[in-house]
Amino acid sequence: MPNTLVAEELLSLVTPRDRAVSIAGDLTEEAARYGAIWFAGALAGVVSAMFFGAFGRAKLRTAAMLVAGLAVWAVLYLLLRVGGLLLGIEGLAAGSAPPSDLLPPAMLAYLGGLLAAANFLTGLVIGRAGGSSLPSPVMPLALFWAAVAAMAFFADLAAGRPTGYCTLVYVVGVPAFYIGPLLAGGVYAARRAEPVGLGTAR
Amino acid sequence: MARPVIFFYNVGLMSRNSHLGEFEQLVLLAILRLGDDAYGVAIRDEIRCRTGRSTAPGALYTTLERLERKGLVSSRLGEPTPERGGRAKRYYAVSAAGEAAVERALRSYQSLLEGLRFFEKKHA
Repeated sequence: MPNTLVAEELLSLVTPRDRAVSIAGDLTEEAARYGAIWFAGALAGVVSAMFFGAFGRAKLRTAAMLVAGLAVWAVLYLLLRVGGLLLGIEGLAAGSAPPSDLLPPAMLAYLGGLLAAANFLTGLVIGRAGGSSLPSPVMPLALFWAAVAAMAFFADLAAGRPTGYCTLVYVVGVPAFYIGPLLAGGVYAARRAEPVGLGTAR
Repeated sequence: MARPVIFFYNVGLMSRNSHLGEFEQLVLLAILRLGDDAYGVAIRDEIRCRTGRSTAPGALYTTLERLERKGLVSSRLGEPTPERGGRAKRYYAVSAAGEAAVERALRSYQSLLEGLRFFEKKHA
């Protein structure tokens, strides 16, 4: 079953909310014919096409948003690690296991939580700073994380050393701990910055 | 001294507003065919039925947005419907400038096809 609300929120990061609402409705209507996988692919296609369309019109602004996003993320990540150190739980990340081994669950939870929190807060900060401007300032950073994961995955494949652990990190870890929390923060900031648009029945 | 500036401005404006890409022509023609029922899903279906060409949703919505920015298309929101998760349809209409652009594009095709033997044989 397609999630129209998630589609609407993601689309509102690249197009005004009243348009996002009607496009989400169109995709939901067609998903009844083609299924949920088509819906997810079509949603990703529309969001990226609209983002790259806006990027073509404002390359410098998009590059500046990416640099600002990375800087905010780095500062927040560092602050969270310092916070962990002060709380005495930073030791969970120290003495990491060899890369081929799965990390112990406590360490994995700590690092995952840290990354998810850093990305969610980054989404909140830059989403709030961007106000209702489109595309949302979180989009360049979200696509940057996706591109880094894809490049790392294909570099491993090309080198002939793809491990199950690394593949899991690229395919599940990056969307779960980087892209998802970042977009969630951006959506939350955008919703607070603008009223609910026209054409939505709730 | 002001003349060259005006000349270049006009050329820029024309190339941005009046020359349509192939997909833009298809979208405008589909909207014209559908009349009052032209919304995203119907436009995609119309293009697929008439041309056999499958259109990516991303390509359609960015094209509609671009045509609206150029002033060739206008849009309005309809009523929310339950089969769309309570979301309203956005209906599109071709503006007078859009109709003129389609006409110009078709005239260009006709003018290029005139006198081509293979085309005349096929359509004799």
